[in-house]
Amino acid sequence: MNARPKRGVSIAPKKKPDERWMLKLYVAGQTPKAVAAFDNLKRLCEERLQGRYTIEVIDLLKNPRLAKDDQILAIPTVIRKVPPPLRRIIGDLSNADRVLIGLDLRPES
Amino acid sequence: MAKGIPNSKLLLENADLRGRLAEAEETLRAIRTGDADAILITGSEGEKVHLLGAVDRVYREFLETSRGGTVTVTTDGKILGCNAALATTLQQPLEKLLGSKLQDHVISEDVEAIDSLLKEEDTGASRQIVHLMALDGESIEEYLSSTRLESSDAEPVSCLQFTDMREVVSAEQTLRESEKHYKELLDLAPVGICVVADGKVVFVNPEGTRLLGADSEEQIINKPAEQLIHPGSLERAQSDMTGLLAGDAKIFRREDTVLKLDGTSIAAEILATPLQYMGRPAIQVIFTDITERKREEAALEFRNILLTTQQEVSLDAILVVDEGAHILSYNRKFVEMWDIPAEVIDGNVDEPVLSYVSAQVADTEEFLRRVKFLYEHPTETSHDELLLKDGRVIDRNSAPMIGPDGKFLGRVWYFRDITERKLAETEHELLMSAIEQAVETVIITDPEGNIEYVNPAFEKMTGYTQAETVGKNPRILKSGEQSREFYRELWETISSGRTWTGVLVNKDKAGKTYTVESTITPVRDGNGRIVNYVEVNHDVSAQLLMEARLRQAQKMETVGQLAGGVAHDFNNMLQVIITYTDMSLTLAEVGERLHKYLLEIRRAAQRSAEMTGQLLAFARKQTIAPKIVDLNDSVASAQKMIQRLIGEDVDLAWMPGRDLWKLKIDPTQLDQILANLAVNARDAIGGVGKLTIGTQKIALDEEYCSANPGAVPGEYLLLTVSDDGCGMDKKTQSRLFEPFFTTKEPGKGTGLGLATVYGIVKQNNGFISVYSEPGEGTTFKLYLPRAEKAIGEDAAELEPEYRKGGTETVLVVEDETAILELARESLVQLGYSVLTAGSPEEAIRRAEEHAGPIHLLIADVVMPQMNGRRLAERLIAVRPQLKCIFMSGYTADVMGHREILTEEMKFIAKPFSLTVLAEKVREVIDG
Repeated sequence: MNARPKRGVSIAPKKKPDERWMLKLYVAGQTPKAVAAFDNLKRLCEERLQGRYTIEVIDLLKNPRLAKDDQILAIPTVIRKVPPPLRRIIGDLSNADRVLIGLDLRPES
Repeated sequence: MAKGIPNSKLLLENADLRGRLAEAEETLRAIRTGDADAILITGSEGEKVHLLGAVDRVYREFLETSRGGTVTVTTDGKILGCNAALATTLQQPLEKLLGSKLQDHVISEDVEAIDSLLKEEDTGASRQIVHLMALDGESIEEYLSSTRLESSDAEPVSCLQFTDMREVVSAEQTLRESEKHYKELLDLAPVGICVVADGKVVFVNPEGTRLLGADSEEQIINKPAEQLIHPGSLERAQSDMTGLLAGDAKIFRREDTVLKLDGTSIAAEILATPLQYMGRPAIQVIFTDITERKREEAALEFRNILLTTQQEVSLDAILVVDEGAHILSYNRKFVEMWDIPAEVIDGNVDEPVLSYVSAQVADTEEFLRRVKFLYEHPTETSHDELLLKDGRVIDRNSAPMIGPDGKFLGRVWYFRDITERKLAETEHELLMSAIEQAVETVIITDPEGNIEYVNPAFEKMTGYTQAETVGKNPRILKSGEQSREFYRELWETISSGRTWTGVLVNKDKAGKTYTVESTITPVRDGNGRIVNYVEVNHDVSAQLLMEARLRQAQKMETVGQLAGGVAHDFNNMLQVIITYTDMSLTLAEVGERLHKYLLEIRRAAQRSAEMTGQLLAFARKQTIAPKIVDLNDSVASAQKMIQRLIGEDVDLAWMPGRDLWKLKIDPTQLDQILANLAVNARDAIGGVGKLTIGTQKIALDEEYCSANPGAVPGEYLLLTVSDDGCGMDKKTQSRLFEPFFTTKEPGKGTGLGLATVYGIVKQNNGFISVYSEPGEGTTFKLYLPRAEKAIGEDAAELEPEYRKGGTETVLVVEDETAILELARESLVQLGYSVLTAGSPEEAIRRAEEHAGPIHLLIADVVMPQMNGRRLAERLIAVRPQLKCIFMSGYTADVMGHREILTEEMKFIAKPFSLTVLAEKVREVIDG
């Protein structure tokens, strides 16, 4: 389900094409999902954001408290920190369309 | 809702809430759909990660590392997860497998099996065999084990585990083969193996069956073990077994007695160990029959004792070394012989013992060289003698030890102290040498008197060789000159065990007799029986001859002395007669009858004087004045005289030798010799014949002189006088030179001629040989030693009529009054002033009293109180100018050992003629 704000409230600024994206991937150890999530994410970023992204992987098995920063409930979860607004997706990101929409990685047009 | 402007704050809140709600819904959805691995839970201790399907993960990891392929599938067969091993087996990458259907990866025949397996509700484990299909089409037989899992997800899943059958099969096969191998071992083992559990034999191998005397193993199985053990060792065996089972000991090994089925026993070596047999604690017993071994051991032990005893009892020192020069054995004698200290011999290595021994050998280098040689030539034997520094002699013998396969095992050394033997040998050699080299003859006979041994001296003496005499009886030497009784007595003496000494006259091989002093001794053995006779003879023939000669010489000496004594006195008288006759002649007119008569008297007296001269010469009493002469000249000049003596019927041949050495002799003596020999020859020829005189120089060596007693080695002039007259027999020859011995009729010949010759030759240190055979003539060989000096000047012959006188003063000393008077008268006639003294004391007195000079002293050499020489010395001491003449008929006593005057002393012989007196006096005073 898209977590989109209701129409009429324009909260999110328009994406700037040269803006650096910062993404955080929260995992719990090296589970297949975590691995898959990372792989998929990486691939998408390479396709869409080449050269202007960073992916930070946080293993909550090691440090559960870090979950609080972004209020993580389920893992694996990827968070788009920059550019705001915050976007989140749970899962292994295998559904590419969902990921694109979720992270607001619309193709340039 | 009230109409109006929407509250932006509210709107924002709303949006926010919706957002969060959406997120929560999303989260829930993710959890529900399985998109999430884990959720975070805030617990009492803080945030905690809760893994969904955590058990699943652990299990997955386990499976991941599992060797066999593992896979988790849905009931349809969809692969939810699998491990790398399966991926490898299927030859496909893992990602590809995820989500595929398991049925796609098995052979078509097994698909149905998989389907039914997965659909089964039975959650228990099931096992079956399926064939996986690899990518390349290879079919792999797998043993499949599957378990159904009811998981927290909606669907149940199944966990399948594959094991490659090939491994299973090979493991089984290996096990089966191992079992078979083990069984074979037991069957073929040459030792008996049995297993005892609960006190009974539960297993026995074929050899064990055989050893126990059974026909088959059934006879043994289930037998109580104690029935197989000898009653005597039963208790111990039982406690051992208990100990093994209890774990007190791990192994027992001993020799014991095992009972066979038939009750007989065998000696066995037993090895027992604990063991789990079919799940029960048991004991494995390995046993072998050592009966034979025991017998062999006993035999070996016996042999060992035998050998050791032999070694120790042996007289030899024995050392045995192996091929590596390590000492294998030695006996006590070896240690004793070489005096080896304990620490050296106990080392059991050859090297230090070798150095210790070699140090005691005189020639250490040679010893070590030989040892080294033998080590390099292991198959050589050796036998030699060692001389030790302490003087012992050791006989050394060694031989290699060769094993049955020809392999060299070592070497045995034997040493024997043969010092005693060597000494005995040396002694024996010494004795033999003594006998062999002795001058005395040695004959050894057996108890019957047959010759067993003769020494070289015997061979030399008799002319018989050893070979010719061995086995014969010494009677072959009998000369026949000794009586039968003599020999019988000899034999009785020695056969009764006594030693006989005496003189034997034997005959040699050539038939010549010889005389020996003999000692014959019987030799007895330990029992007192006579086993040999030893005869030692000493040739006395030469000795006897010498004795005879000595007697002869002594006889001659005595006669000579006698004759000399007579001659001396007679000489004095003749002196008187001659002198007075001379003086009378001066008073008589020549041509007067008185003169003629006086001449006759004088001639007769002269001849008498000559005779006494000869006699004295024989007695070696005549004083002589030797000169250096040339023998050839002397003989040549005497030729006339000789010819006159022998007469016209006898031819005179003169054969002078060449390059003769000079001779020192009184020429008168030479004349006397020639004259006497000539006369002798003439008489022997007795008519027509030939007389040969020859001279030569000759050197006589040792050998000639040893064969001819009386000869002394040196250089001689040989004067040979040979006639072809009637010759002489041996008897005559032996008395030839005896004074007064003559073969002529009484009245003819004085018997002094040859005696004179003999005397002269002896006086001149020469010797005579005579060779004569009856009818063959006679040869005299006179050996006269050569002179050292060159020929001297002969004194000038004085004309007999010339008498020169003088006026000097002469002192005459003579104890014989007649001679004294004679001398005084003679001198006065010659014109001298004469002082006389009848004794040395008177002479000294006279000399002191006389005021004027005394020019000459004429003194008798032999006078009672003092001899003339001493007197002369006394007077010369007072009157240095005094000259002396000595006169005497005797010279022997005065002149010391030699009978010849020294050149310095002037001498006149009695009797002397006036002429001689005049001449001498003048000569001395003037000289």
